[in-house]
Amino acid sequence: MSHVGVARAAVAVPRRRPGMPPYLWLLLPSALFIALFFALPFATVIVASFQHGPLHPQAGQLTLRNHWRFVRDGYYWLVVARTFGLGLGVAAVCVLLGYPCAYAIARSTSRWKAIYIFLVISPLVTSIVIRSYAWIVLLGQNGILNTLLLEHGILEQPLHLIYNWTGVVIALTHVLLPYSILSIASVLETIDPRIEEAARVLGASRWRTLWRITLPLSVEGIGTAAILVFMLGIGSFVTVWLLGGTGTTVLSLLIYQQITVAFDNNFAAVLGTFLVVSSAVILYAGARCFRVRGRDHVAG
Amino acid sequence: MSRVDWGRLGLGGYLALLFFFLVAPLLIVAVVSFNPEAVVRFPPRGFSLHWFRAVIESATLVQAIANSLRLGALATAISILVAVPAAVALGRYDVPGKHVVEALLLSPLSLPMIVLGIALLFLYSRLGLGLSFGGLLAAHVVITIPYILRCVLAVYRGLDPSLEDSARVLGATPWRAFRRVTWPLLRPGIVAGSIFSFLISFDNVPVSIFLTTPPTTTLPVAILSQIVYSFEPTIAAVSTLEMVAVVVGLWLVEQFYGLRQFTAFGAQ
Repeated sequence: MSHVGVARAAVAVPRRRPGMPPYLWLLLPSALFIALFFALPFATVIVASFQHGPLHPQAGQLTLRNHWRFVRDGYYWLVVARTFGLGLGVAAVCVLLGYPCAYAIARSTSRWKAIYIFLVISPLVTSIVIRSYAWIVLLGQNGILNTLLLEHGILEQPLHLIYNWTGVVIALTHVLLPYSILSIASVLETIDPRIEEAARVLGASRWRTLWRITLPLSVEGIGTAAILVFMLGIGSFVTVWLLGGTGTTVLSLLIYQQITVAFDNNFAAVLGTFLVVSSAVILYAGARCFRVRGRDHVAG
Repeated sequence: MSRVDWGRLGLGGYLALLFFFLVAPLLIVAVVSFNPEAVVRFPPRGFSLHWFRAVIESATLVQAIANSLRLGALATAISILVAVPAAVALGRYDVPGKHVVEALLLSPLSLPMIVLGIALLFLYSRLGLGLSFGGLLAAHVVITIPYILRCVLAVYRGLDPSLEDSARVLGATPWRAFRRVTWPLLRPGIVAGSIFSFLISFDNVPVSIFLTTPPTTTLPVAILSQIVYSFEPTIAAVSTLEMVAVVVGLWLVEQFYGLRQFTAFGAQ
């Protein structure tokens, strides 16, 4: 390589070259894809929510009728309350059940660690449809649990475990628990175990160490896990459909029914917009709240 | 005298219960699929491969499996082509408004998928495109872009940027520097991202259910519509096949890359 070559190469290092920045070309394909197949479709939904349906005499014209219908009817607010209630409930259960397991994964150094992770990931990578089916097989009226309990004379009548909230919460916990375990574990792994050891050496009990050291340091992981499970919970569709009943209709199912049964795409658009906007607001608020609090704890 | 360590014992017992809760339903589906009877029963009375033969003989399921494999592979391939350059741009250059750009590209992760499903349905019908494999593929590329982007960015952030600069200063062309230096360093992120991307595409229902037609139907959508109408063990058999494929896939990943990185990448 000649001197000229070296000089040219040095000049050509992209960071120093004037003119059209190369990152624009690199970002262009993904930006185009997201714009065309993500942003544009959402814009279509928002527009549709303000339009009359195709069967209306003023089809396609702008209206607030769909929004008014949503705001006015108490049933839709009940569905909203169910949706967020389910998200909160499942988030709480997943964080509580997942934290000890995440702790075990983060603190394990032996070959058990790979086995733990495998056991957590194997349900995560199994289809949600299959996992929901598994719970129907287990908990159904003629399912495995009821059959065993009846055959052994423990029960007289089968338990009603599916097509209600019980089934939905059990199956959704099963679906979302791995997410909470992995999010909490990834934060716990960044905490130096020597901090805990120092607390123990200085005389703190195990509970006090957990309460005063480990939990505060992992607040960000708990927050991430809670937000993630909440978001996935309020958007969950397959599990609630298969294990729920008429009393567990949530927003995602209502949207599906509006499209496939009621053929009211414009009202489905109102529900979809509401679901997206409310989850974006909650995501933003939650992320801010937990990031700030996490930093405070580390600083203090 | 050593005292019994109740804390450790309690945690161990708890872990055993938790892992039982996580894995038992999957194992039961696998056991049920070898049941010779047409009713789902546990423990099964006998052993039969009848329901596996039923899967192979079901034209709908075979077609759905082929569709899902093709869709997952193509969506992942296109996502790599689209998302890796974006990750390079965000990881390497001082892009103005970097955080906003990144958040926008990752936004499909954080919004309810069912709304993306109806949104694309509305868009395609408004444009008069109808439902095609191409439309379904585009939807799956959008869903999978964030997974590739995240995994590759995570790797890129851990790299020393001077490595690529050194290659350039030493006379490598930009393409050669990328191919010989950056690409091999990014490969673990791309592999992890591709696995996630394929699984996410393969498992998707809320988007696919609005965009598939009988000839393009995917496996989870086909299984779902069968569950809604019947509980016969064919579904258990096809589920077992899928789980075996995933376990073998995970084992291969563990052999080549180690599952540990999944705690970092897996927590979305």
